[in-house]
Amino acid sequence: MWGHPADERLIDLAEGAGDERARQHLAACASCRAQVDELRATLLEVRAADAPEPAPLYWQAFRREVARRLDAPRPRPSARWWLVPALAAGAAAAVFVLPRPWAERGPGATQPVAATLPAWTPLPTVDEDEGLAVLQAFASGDALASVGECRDLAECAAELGERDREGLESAFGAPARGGQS
Amino acid sequence: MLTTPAGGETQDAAREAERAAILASQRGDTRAFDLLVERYQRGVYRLCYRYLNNHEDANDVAQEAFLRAYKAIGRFRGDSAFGTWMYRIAVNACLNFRAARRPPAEELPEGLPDRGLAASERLERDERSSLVRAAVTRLPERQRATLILKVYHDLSHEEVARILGSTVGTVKANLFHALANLRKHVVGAATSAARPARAGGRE
Repeated sequence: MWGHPADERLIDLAEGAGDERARQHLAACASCRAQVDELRATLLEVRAADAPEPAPLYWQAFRREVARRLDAPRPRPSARWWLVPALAAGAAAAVFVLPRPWAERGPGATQPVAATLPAWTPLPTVDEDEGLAVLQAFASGDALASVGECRDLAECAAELGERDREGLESAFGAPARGGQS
Repeated sequence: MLTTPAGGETQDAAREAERAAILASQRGDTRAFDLLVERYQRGVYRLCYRYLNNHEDANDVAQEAFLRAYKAIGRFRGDSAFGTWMYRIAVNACLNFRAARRPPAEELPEGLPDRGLAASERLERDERSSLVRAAVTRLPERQRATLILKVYHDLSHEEVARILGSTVGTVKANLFHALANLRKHVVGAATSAARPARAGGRE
């Protein structure tokens, strides 16, 4: 015999569709009616919470950027995706290079951060080296344009989105917070 | 909704122009592809925004979707509408993006954010909307994709099923569960949290 309609049928009913039998059941069953009403209310609420519409000029910029990347000789990831490795690579280099004078002072001398690194790690091949692409991009000036004007790590971090900043922080193991509230 | 012909053009002319653009793109004509970008960028960007809930990511992923579409356009056979094919690429791009970047482990907000003085009705509505949008991004992937395509893009169950490589029955079931989850987590939570917050002081 006919029980309560399945989930799919309730969706039909909420959309004003549904076969005769389902509609008859709905007319007779208060609990299904309540469920269908809830589905409708939620649908309306979700529909009303739509994403904001960007400014009309945005679409021109979008097209232009897609066209530029299509015509670019070699596709590369968009600026923001390599921004974090870029900053991380720079800082890692700083960590590795700067402490060396202390490290070479002989036994007993403090060996700050570099001491925790393994004595020897294989260098990545050119293809694997993400940092290389980053440095090339920096050399060509692309990256600076996307970073904007920031003088140090904290300032650059302040310009990043929340998740990029978290990525940066986890790369350093320390908060890289700038003027962000 | 899958085709958005420019004003003045008849449906047929728009379809013909699209077909020509697809063929030319398949021969490597990036300018022809630009017509397809123009026609579908709004739908794709907004799909990504609804999926990722912020402009920067939506912009990146929507562009990425078009680049992928261009690379793959040689394999587009025309057995489905170009829009269906394009949306499938966009949904996949969103999925990949989210898989690559673990989303921040936020809890659902307990109530509406503090706005100091009694919020105007408009502000409240905006806050409620952003609450709903945030909750949409926390739905399981299939439910979210289904809900977004069905509710915001006004596609039929059949079209959504084609985009997601699924069946009409599954689409309806996923939509049902998506709505039930949203109801449970947001709509109810916001309503019950908003009341005491307004009556009493702030935490």
